[in-house]
Amino acid sequence: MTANPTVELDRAVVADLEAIMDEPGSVLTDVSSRANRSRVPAPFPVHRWAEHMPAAVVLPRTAEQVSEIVKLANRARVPVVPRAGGTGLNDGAVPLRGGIVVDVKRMNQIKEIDMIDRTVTVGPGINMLKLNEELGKYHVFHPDTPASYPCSLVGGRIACSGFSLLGSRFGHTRDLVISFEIVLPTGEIIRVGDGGGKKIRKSSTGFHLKHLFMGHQGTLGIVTEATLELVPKPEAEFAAFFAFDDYLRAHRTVHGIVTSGIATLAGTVIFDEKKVEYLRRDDEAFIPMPPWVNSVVATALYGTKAEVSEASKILMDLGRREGGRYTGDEMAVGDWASRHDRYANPLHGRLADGSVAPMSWHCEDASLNWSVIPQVREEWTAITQKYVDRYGIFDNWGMYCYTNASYKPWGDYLVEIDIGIWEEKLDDEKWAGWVDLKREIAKVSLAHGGSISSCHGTTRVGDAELVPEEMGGGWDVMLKIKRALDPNNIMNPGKQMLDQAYE
Amino acid sequence: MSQSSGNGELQRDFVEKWRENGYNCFSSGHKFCREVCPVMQVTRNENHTPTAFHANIIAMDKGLLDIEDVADDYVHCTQCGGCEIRCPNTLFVGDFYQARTETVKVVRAARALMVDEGLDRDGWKLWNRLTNELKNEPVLGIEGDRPTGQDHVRDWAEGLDLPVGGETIMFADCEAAFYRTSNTRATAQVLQKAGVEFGLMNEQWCCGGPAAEMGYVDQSRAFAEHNLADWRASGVKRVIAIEPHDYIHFTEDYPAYFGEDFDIEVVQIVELVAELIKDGRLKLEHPINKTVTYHDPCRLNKRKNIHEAPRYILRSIPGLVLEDVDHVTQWSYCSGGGGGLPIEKPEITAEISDMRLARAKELDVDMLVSACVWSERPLARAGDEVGIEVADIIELVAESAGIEVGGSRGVSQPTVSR
Amino acid sequence: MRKFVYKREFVRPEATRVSDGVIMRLDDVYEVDPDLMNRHFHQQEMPRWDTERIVASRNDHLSWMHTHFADETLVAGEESELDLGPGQPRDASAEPQ
Repeated sequence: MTANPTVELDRAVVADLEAIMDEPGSVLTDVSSRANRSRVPAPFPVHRWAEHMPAAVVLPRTAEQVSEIVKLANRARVPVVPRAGGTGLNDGAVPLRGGIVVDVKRMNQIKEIDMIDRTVTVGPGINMLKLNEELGKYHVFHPDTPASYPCSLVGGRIACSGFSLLGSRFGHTRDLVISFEIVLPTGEIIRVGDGGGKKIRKSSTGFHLKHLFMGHQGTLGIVTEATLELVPKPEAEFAAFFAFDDYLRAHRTVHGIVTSGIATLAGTVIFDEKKVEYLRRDDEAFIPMPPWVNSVVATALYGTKAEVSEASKILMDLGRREGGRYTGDEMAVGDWASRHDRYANPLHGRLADGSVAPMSWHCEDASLNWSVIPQVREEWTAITQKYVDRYGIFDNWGMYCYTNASYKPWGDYLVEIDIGIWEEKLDDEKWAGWVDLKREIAKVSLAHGGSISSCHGTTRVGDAELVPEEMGGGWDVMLKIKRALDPNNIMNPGKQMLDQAYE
Repeated sequence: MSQSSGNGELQRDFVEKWRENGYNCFSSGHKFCREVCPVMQVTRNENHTPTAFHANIIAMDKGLLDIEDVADDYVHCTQCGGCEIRCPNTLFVGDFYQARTETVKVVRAARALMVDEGLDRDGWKLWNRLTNELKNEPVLGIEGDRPTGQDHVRDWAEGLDLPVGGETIMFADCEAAFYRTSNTRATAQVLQKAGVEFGLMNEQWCCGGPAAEMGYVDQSRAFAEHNLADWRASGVKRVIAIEPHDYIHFTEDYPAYFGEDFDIEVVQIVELVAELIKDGRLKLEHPINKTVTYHDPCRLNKRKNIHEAPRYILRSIPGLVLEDVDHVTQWSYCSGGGGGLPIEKPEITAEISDMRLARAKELDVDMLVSACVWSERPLARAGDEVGIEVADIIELVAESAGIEVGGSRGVSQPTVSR
Repeated sequence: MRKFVYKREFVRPEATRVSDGVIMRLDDVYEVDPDLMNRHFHQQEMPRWDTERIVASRNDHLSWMHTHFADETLVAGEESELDLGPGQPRDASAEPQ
């Protein structure tokens, strides 16, 4: 198998790639092309950058080209790493064994807009904001809106089974993608959906292969086309933020809101004490928070004006039941809009002496039930503080909890702790410390009946080692599937402990 | 890893100077810039992202590559500034930290390093050598019946009876002085009609901006020193910049060169003209019965946040129907004309312009109006292919004010022989 | 119409303190306490036009985001209650505050 990294391709393989592509500038082996496709935004061992570089990069335009590339990789036993936006947060697109990065950004066409049966079919290299700029002309939208909305691409959304800020209302990536075309690790091009119909949302025919490949992290193939849901553009939106001195009251308030039966509720977010403290550093740009505020609840509604207008009154009442104070219209408007591009800024970083240092952002993304959140918050905060004190290069940026289920606002939450890492100072010892921190946090999620990852994936060190534990008996099934579909372990090898399939 | 010339000291200095900029992007690497970048929209090659431009600095620091390995990558930029303003490090916290994303400066510095290392591009080298000889950009090439240079720098003003010197001067951009003379003539006559007192520059050299954009820092500075000295000698206190590229250069590079010694007041023409209309000093009485859409020039909209004045102007022209595209959407629009790109990668400029005209075509308009004469050349070429006229906003203002402009909207594509 | 004049752009007004770590120089523009910067990351010499551009662009961008997602943005139309201090839970039978 491909245990040793492929850091350089045989000339013959490069020549074969060029023959498949038949386009100047589509097969790149220069150092710049490779160095700039090594990392994703997640904290990166910059001191070991060279170990994460691919041997070559290909920029295909068609599924047939992708298929030929994958077949060639099998023949040559060279790893393949699919790369869409390279904006993921769990290293899914980071090469661990060199090989060929298949960069799908040139497959960014809108192929068909079907206003009758309400679908849009696109290439995996298209960004959702750009797609929605086009769809806006027809007064529809594709509401897959993560914090990376302006920069992530559809191929990556499928690979991660992404989370949408508006998921409680409109569904997440797995609900909003109706069917897609994927090149299997052995090169066959197949279509997966619910059953076989390209535009069919619900079926009982055969195995539900769409759900197998949704969230595969690039380990089961390369997506080459997707058919997506079209949703009527909402007439109205409404957001309201409520401030609390007591986190537990905020937590209870959210329970009241999400079990209220309001159908237009799109999302509810809880900010913990550390998050409020963090936002005091520079979100003063929106509105200064008085010292008594320790927790905030943000909520938003989307729908027809008639529904939203009425529901907003109920929501305002629910937000105040446990003593929540309305933060005013300005914050409701300004802060909610900023949630659509909410990747963290490096200068949020603070060292122990309060000085500003540019930090890379780790975003934990556990899925946890409402009932365990306060306890998890205590454990995570304590663990993080331990490492902040020990290493001097970490910073606790607090927690958000977002409603996590599709089409319903109750149940489980994307529970996020944001940690800053002063990447420039990383060495092997500090990197090992970082991985330990990551792993301790993930273990807490498992101990409380949760899932390590709601939406980023578990392809990186610190998470991957715990996947077999989380999956239980299902782990064996995963290994069988991986071995069956990828006999030569060329498709994004080394990720998520799946090498065990070949032992 | 390739060898750079010399002992690598210049590259080390470059890395030292830009390391913080590098890390502020590299540590984040969120790539919100990518989809607004006009070059990226065409090539879809991550090497050309602002992210890569910053990551390369860190890569050099770590010994992974040298400037030689990325020289061609840094050519792929129009310096439109879309990435800078869109980057959340600028947009959400740049004012708070008084530290923002500065991709334009990074690209310029990389290009300057290329010049110092003898890696500068042939087309740029020739362009700037000719600029230095002519003291103006060789916008007509070196063949053709209307060559550029000091002997001809005021030919455009024939018959307009414009004085030279005075407290206020109108700075005639090179492209407008020689290529699109309808723009300079329209501007001068509009100002005359509104009763604005102004003259022309005594010795009108290029502003020096393009040299700075392409990495020829010493030449840029020399031209700036000449221009400032010329203004001082003529008693100039105020400069009307009629072109966004000049406006950028006067309000960003000249202050950087001269500090508080730069005591010249600079105004931009579209803001001045909007004020003249608002104050009733310029009456727009002749209708122009056309449906138009406005192109936000990058160096006005993205780099300077100037977008209200031109829309006010267009809405003041009787008979004109404006199908507007908002200025935030236009953060991802561009003509491809800036940053020396048309010289080295004309096919990318052409594709960026084609994309811009395709957007205009969707709106069912007769005309695309710009406020940047450098954008009008590539846009007009693209416009010809889809049957949309490309006009300059001041030309329309002149027409509506009843002025017979004269001049030319541009000769056929000049060639600069290599 | 804005006029570029060096002094206006580069001479900084005096700062007033807003909170730990935050100061204000220009109206309604919060800034980090410069004492916290310039150790591990340096501030730039940002002319006033640039700060103004960023603030205006941010507001325009946020408005754009609203329009991008819905035709109309509704608000509660109520003032901020933060100055009232922390609220108390009420029982379900009580009138809303």
